[in-house]
Amino acid sequence: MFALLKRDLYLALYSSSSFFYTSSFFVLILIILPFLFGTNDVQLQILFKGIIWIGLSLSILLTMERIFNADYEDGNLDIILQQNPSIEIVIISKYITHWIVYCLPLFIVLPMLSFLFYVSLDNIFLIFLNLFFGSFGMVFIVTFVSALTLGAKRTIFLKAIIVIPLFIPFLIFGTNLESWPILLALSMMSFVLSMYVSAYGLRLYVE
Amino acid sequence: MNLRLTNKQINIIEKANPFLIVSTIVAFTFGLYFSLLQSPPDYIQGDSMRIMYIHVPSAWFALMAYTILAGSSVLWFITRNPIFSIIARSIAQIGMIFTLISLVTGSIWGKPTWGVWWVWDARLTSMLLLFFLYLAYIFLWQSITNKDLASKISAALAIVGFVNIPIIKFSVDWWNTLHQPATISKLSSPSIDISMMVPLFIMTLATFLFLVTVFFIRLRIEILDNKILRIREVK
Amino acid sequence: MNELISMGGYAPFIWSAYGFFFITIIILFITNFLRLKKREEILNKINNNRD
Repeated sequence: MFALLKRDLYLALYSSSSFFYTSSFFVLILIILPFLFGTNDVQLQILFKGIIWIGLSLSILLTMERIFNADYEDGNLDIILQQNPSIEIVIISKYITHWIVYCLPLFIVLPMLSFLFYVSLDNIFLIFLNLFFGSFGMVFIVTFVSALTLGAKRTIFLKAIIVIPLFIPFLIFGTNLESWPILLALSMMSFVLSMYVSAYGLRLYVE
Repeated sequence: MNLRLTNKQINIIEKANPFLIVSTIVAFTFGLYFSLLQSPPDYIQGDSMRIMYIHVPSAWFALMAYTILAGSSVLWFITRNPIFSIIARSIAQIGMIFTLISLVTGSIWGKPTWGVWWVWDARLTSMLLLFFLYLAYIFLWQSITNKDLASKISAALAIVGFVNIPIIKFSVDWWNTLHQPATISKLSSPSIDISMMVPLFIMTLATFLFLVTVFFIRLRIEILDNKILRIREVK
Repeated sequence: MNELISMGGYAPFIWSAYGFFFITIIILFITNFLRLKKREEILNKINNNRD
């Protein structure tokens, strides 16, 4: 499992997307805000809470084709599944890679962003908790949708139509500051669902 | 793909068609007569509540169609009988159309009642999301060219969507209590008068007959597709 | 008759809602019916070629 994890991380970080790119993406999505809505600090605080979730959703959603598609198309997925004792380990390794590459940078730039948008330290901690527990669930959802749609035509919009309704509970609770336990529960539910459905999808395509 | 339908069942599906079309037309004629002429206007909403007679049946059948979609997907997983996969995708398009109808007629009803075309009410928002669940199912089905694979994949998506419906409903309800606009009172119908029940019942029956008609036509399309495919394979 | 058309002042709403309902379901019916007819034609053609 660790060999697979290492390989996936190397591939992700050495291809197009290093840590630096992803964190710049998060900063830039939020820097648009003052240009669109002005620099009123109360308004910016409210918008910050919402737009940060849009940034997280976009970064997870737009890169979802990297989870299985590349490996599937060059035939590596067959080899990976044969080499590893169980399909679940492969899926868990993909969760970890995707989370580290496309979610972790957000938490690194989050303190800096909180200064830019006048968010108090207490609030930033709660926002951090929400994003932390929510992002796992969103990665789980994106992984199983990616496993299901391996054979579909490569359109990110189709996948967005499938994924966004599933994201909506996360977004609803994510913008409320005290609801991190609910996000944790949602993430755990989507973990169970995602394990079954991803394994089912992968088996269909690989066999 | 063997459909596992007996000739007798196929015969019933084919013979029922003219009878269903006639009875749908008759039921809609009666339904329109009762809902537009025979029933009295509501004493609060006036004549605008006549939209209810088409809005409520379409909303019911939109929800019912998703239940059938998910139920037959589950049955497909258990029995692997292709007929359930056919039922699921035959009902999906019909369900999507009825969700669209209930959204549009609800919006037209909302304008005279609330003064606006759309309210971010929990029920309306859930219905809107249901529409996108249908859309995702149909798009996924269309985008996979291998139809055998497509039926397996979309069955899984239908069940995921069905599991997600209570979660969406719960979160949207919770969200709605936070953001409920104070000026707009919810559309409530505490007691429906008997004079309103009759047209509502007839319109529901008519809509149901229509749904069955289209559903049978879609089943026949699938049966013929299967026949054509088999003849080509033999050649 | 006039009363039926004016609908107590709600005519545009009621008639557009009913119109939308019936036009949509008729389109749904006709498109599926035409698809069925197309399949039957193809099947007839195949059967005739065989004979």
